[in-house]
Amino acid sequence: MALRATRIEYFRLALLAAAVVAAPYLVSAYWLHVLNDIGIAVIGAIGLNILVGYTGQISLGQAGFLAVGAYTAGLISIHSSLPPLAGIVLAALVSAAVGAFFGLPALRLKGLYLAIATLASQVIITWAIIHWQFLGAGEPLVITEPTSFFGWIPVTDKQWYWVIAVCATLAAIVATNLFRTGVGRAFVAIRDQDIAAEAIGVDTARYKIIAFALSSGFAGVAGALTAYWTTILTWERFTIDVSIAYLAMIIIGGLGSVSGSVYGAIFIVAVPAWLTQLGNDFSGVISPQNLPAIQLIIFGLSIALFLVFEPKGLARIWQRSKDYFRLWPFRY
Amino acid sequence: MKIRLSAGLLVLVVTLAVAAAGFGRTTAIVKLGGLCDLSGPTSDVGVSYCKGELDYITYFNRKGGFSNKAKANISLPDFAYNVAKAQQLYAQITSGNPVAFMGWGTADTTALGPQITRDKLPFMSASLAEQLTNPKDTPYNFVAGTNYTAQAQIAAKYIDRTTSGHKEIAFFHNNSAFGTAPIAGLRAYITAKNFDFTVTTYPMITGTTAFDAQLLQAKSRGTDYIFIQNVPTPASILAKDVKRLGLTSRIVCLNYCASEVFLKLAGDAANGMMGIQPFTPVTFNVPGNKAPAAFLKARGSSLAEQNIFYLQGWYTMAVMLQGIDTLIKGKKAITGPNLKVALETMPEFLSGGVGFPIKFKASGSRAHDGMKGSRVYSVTSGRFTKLTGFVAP
Repeated sequence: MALRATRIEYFRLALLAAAVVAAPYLVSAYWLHVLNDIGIAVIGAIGLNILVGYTGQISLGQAGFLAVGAYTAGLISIHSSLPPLAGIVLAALVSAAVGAFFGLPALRLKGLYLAIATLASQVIITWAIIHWQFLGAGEPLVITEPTSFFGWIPVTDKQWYWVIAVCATLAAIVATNLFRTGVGRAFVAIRDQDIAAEAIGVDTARYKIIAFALSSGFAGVAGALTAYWTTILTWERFTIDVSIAYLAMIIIGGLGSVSGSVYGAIFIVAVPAWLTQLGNDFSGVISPQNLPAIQLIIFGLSIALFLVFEPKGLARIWQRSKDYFRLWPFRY
Repeated sequence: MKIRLSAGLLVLVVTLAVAAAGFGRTTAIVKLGGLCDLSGPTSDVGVSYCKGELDYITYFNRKGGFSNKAKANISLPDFAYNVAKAQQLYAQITSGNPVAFMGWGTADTTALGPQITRDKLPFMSASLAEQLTNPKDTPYNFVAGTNYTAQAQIAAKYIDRTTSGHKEIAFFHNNSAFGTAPIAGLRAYITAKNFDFTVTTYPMITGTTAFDAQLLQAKSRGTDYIFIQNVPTPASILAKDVKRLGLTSRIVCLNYCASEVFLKLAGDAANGMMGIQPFTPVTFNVPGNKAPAAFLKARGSSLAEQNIFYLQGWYTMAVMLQGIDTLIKGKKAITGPNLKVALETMPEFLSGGVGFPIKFKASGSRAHDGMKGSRVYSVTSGRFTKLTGFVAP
C-alpha cells in the first residue's frame, strides 16, 4: 500500500520533513526547548488518543503513567549499566504493565466512573513517588550517568531534538499502522458499539486492557525521554494538571486521529509558551501577574470553542481545508 | 533654491543626529537572569520578594551601578511555580548569556540543577533548601539565608532548652520539595541530640480550605507544637483552624511563614506563634531599613506597606551584585567560575541588621549557605517580639 495517494500529499509530506529537519537551525534556544517539549507531548498524546479517541475509554491518569516511565528509566540509569535504549523499552513495558493493572477496574466502568477510576491511578502513583523510599520519597531523582545512544551522547537541546523527533515519528508510524490491524479495528469497534462488538466475537475485556497497556506504554516512552533529557525528576512535573493538559491536547487536536494528537500537542505546548514570550516582550502593557490567568482563559476557551464548533478538532479543520481547496472553485 | 535649502538643512540635521549618537555615552550593561512566582502557590511571597529584587537594582543603578562602569539589568518573568515552564524560561533566558541567575523555589531550582552546573551559572534562589548549599553537589547554587533544615533544628533546640519532657511535634508542610526539605534533617538532628521528641508529618495540599482532619489527628496524638513549613496564606488558614478547633498546641513558623503577611491573614490566631526568622521584620527599626525605606518613600510608598520578603529580596540581590562588583573592581572577567569564587571569598556581607552577616565558603556541607543561624521571635498582640539573639543549630 502506498505511503500517500497523490502527488500533492507527497509534496506536503516532503514539506513537513523539511520543516522538521530545518527547525532546530532556525529557531531560538527557547523555541528549541519548546519543540522538544512538543515532541515528548506528541508521544504521550498519541498514547492517550489510542485509549480515549480510538477505544472510547476516558483516562485522567496520563501524567501518572508518564511518571512511571520516567522513574523507571531514571532508576535503571542510576542502578544498572543498561543502555538508555533498553531503559526506554523497559520504561514502556513497566508503564504498560501498570496501565494494564489500573485498566482492570475499567472493565466494568464507563464514562464519569471510569474517569474517577483513572484519576485514582494518578493520585496513587503520585503518592507512591512522594512516599516510597526506593523512588526517592519525594526527593528529586538525579541521573548522573551520561545518556549514550551507540556511543553518541546528546547533551544540548539541539542534539536531544533529533532523538525526540525520531521517537515521535516512530510513535506516529506505529500508531497509524496499529489501526490497520485487527487489534486497532477491535479498539474502534469497542468505541463505536461495545455490545455489538462483543456480539460479533470481539473480546472487549481483553482489548480494553490492551488499549490501557498500549496507551501507558506510549506514556512510558514519553516519560523515559523526559527523564533522560532533563536528567532530573521531580514529582511536581507529573501532576493532575498535566493529565488534563493531555486530555485537552487530544480534544483540541481531534479524537481518534494520530495527526490530531500532533496538532493538539503543538497547540497546548506552544500557545502558552508563545503567550509567555509575548508577556515578556510586552511586560509594560500586560502585567506579568495577569499572564497565567490569560493563559488559563485561552486554554479553557479553546477547549470549549472546539467542543462547540468543531468537536473533531484541528484534524477535522485541516481535512475540511484540504477538501475545500481540492474542490475549489466548486463547492462539491 | 528652496528645495536645495531644505535638502541641505535635512542633511545637516541628520548628520548632527548621527554625530550625537556617536558621541553619546554608552553604559555597559551586566545582564542577570531570573524567575519569579507572581501568580502561583508561593506568590504571596513572590510578589514582595521580587519587587525587592527589582527595586534594589534600580537603587543600585541610581547609585552608580558597578563602580560607575556598568549597570545591572534583570527581568523576572513569572513561571507560576510550574517546573516545566521554569525549564523553558531558563533556556530562553540563558540564551542571552546572563552572568548570574536569581532563581525561585525548591522544585524549579532542583529541576534546573544539572543545567546550572553544566552552564556554570551562579544561581541564588529564594529557596533556602539545604540540598542547595553543598558545593560538592550543587557548585553554583547559593542561598542567602539560613536553610530550612537549620531553621527547624533551631526551633527544636529552643524547645528542648526551654521546656522539659516528651514533646509531640506535628510538622505541617507544603506538599512539595519546598515543604519536605527540612524533615529528614530535623529528624536526624533530634536523634543525634537525643531530644525526647516525636515528629509526625502532615502535607498541606495546595488549595485546601480547612485542615480539620489533620488537626484532629494531631490533637488526638496530644501534639505540643505545630511546625509550619509553608507560605503565609495556607499557614494562616491552618492557624485559624488550630484556634477554631481549640488546639492548645503552639505554632512554630519557619521563615516563609513567620512574616507580617501571616500576622495580617491569621489575625488573633497568630498570637503565641514562635517564628524562626533569619531576617528582621520591617517593624523593627534597624539601620538596614534606611535605604529601602528612602527608596520607597521617593515613590510614594513606605516600608510599612511592604514586608520582610521585600527586604529579603532587596538584600539577596545586593549580595549577588556585590559579588559581581568585586570582579569588576578587580578587573576580572565576569564569568561563572570567577563569580563563584568571588562569592565564596568576598568578606561578610552586612545588611545593617536586616539579616545576619552573610558569608559563603568554598567547601563544606553548608558552605554555600550564607547565614548559619537565626533569631527566634514570638508574636504577642499581633506584633513580633524577639525571644533570642543569633542561635545556631
